[in-house]
Amino acid sequence: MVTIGVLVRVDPTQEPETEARLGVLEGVQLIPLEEPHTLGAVIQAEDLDEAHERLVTQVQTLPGVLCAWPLHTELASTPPSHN
Amino acid sequence: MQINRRDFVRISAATTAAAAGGPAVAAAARPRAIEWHKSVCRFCGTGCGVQIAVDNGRLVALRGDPEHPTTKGLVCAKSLFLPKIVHSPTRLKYPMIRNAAGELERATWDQAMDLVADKFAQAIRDHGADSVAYYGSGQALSEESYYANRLFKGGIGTNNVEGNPRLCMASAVGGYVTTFSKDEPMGCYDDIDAANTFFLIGSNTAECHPVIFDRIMARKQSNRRTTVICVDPRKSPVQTIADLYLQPKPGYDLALLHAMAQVIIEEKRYDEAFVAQHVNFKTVVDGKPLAVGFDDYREFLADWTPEKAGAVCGVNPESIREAARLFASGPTTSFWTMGLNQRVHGVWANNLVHNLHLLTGQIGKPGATPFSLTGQPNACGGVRDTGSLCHILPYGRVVKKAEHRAQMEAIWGCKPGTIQPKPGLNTIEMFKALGEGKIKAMLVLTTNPGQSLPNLNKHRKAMAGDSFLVVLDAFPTETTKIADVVLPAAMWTEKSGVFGMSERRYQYQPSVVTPPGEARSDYAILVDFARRLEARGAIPKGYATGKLSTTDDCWEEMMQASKDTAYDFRGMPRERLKRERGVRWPAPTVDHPGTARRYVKGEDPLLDSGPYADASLEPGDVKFYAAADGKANIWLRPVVGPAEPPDAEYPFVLSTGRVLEHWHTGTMTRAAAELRRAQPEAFVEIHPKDAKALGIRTGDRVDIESRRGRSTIKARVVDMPQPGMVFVPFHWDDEGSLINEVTIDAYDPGSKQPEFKICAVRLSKAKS
Repeated sequence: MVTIGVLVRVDPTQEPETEARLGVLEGVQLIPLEEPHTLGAVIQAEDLDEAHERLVTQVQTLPGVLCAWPLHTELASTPPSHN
Repeated sequence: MQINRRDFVRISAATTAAAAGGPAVAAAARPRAIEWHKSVCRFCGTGCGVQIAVDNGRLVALRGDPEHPTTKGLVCAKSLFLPKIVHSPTRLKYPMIRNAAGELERATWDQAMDLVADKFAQAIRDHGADSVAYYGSGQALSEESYYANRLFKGGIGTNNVEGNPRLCMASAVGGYVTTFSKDEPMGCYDDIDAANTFFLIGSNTAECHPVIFDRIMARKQSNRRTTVICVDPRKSPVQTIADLYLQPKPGYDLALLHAMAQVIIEEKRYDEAFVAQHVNFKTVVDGKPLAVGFDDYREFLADWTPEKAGAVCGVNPESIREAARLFASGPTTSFWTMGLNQRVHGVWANNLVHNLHLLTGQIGKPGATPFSLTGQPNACGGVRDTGSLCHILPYGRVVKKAEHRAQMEAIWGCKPGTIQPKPGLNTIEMFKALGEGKIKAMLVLTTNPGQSLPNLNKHRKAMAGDSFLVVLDAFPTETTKIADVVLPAAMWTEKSGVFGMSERRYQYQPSVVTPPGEARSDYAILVDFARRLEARGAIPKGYATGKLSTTDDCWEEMMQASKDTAYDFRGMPRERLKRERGVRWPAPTVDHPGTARRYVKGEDPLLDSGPYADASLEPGDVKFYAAADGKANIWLRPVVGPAEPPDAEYPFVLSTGRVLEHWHTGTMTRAAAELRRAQPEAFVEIHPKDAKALGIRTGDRVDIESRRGRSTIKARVVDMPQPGMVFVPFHWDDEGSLINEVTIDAYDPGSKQPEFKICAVRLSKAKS
């Protein structure tokens, strides 16, 4: 399991609609932030590939989203040793 | 309830812990025994503060550091994959020597290092110090570049010291030095928050410096007066937020910049008092600088009306006027990168941006600064500042000045007269000399010239020739494929030292995990190499043994070397850097907070004490103290086009660059399967009009041919490059996709930086 915490910068003129669109995405949990016109989104997925895919194809391309930047990524399992 | 970024990061971390442990409620999650460490991102020159988590000796998490003063918790998508990249199974783990059959074969460290030291010592003995060379990187730690520079210039006695920043930012250095008499930006990222006008020229900030782009966007969101001017021959995502987009013909933006200055003067939008007090005017006659006056400049610009410039550069004259007015209204921050630097007249292009800031007084106050962004994490602190190029010495010194050589000889403890007064070979000439057999042995550290040099066929042949090539790297590359010895290097998080990013901020990064196999830090390898050279009599006895054994020792010497220079960072001992989120130089004392804006009384401590102090200034006054008269230069530069404009035989302009998901030659980012899948292969962007004329569709394979070589790459038909122009990112090394086999190695006569951005090519649909 992988989690990415994402800062989503929203078009101020479409804020409620964008929040609503984000709110229905599967595997995405929204958290209001103090910073104006931004939202926190926690994306959970089976692996980093899927999480990245959701960030790029679902969140970043949503109408009203100006950009989305990862703040935090965490792999629930340790990467395999390369030795 | 609304929360801040810091708490948000905590919540998302707890969510992971809950997911890992099973309970549904994050707050109830049992914390995992992971350690968090403060560090700095491995990729571009933005210098994002990050925190990295280690569990059982492995990196398991990365997050933007919400306490970081400039990047405030943001990172870009590439950073997400750094833990995976560090633990990639493709890492180099053992020293390798090329055997008689031409194959790389595992060796012990002693075998490899003895061979390297023998070959270098033999070359120095038989052919002199200038028969060896060092080619470093803006990705090495500052201590590594400093040590290599010290070894080659002060130990061996050759100035053949170069690095890949020659390919990406040498023209920015040339611009700062010729205009302000000293390298490096005077402003900082804080200026973004106070700017009303952003002038983004030759910079795909959105993809190459995403976190800076976000800060620009945040400023635009919060301030309705903010306008963004984007100047780029190719549309990029930057254009999506631009209020004014100018699309000049590739290589002719000098005309546009002069025309903006012409409008500013014509409409009396310049800052007369600032110009009178702080600016000299210069031109070049018979190869020598000549002082002229404001009237000469006005007369020179009279020839560059928006109409005339528009005809040369292909931009609507009214748009030029609008850009000039917005620029002059300010506060204006300019950002640029390779679009200006990778040009045969890159220094002049840099000068002309500085001209606009000086003319309008848009400099030295919040929101007003010319700012060259850097592509590598430590090209500034590591290579520019430590003087690790063929013509310079640490902290603003140059090899040509006897006083500067004497200072460094005293600091390094070498015999007077050791450092040569003549600059060594620049990058292109160095690889040419390698091919001609004049360079007998070369050490390449943390970079991949086998993919990144222009006119690659020529230079790869040189690297694969009879001379001895040793490469230190963390991953297999196009250069390790042709090296005689490959030494496995530790990478980010496996070694400790300092990165210095674009805004003069020096940041410490700790070693938190062990490198794979037998890999060692580049610093440890360099120290070992130096001591073996000493044992063979190739450098003076006592120069390396027992000295600067660790990066901590090296940092102490570096701080002292900055004394009485414009870089003074003696207030940054290791312990301070470990504690704080970096400090911006100058910071001469440990209680100095670091400098946001150089050359400004009240902000720059060097105006208060030391060789540049000036008690006559009032707070807020500007003085460009690196120049003897304290003034900066506005240059009257001619408008000259690219080295190889398109013609009947090669009718298209090729420009190279990057995409968001990959970085440089892709050896790190392609090691992450997710990034590889996101952008799996090279592509060539072709304008729909051109594609139609050539019968090319998206997905077709296209031959891109220049006078130097050919690549065959899949087409993307898209309205991003202008008609007559194609764009190819340079991240891939698959068969046929090395675009630098096509690019040109003509270079700027001042900065010696090659013109990656413009060469002439022809296109055709590939037959197979």
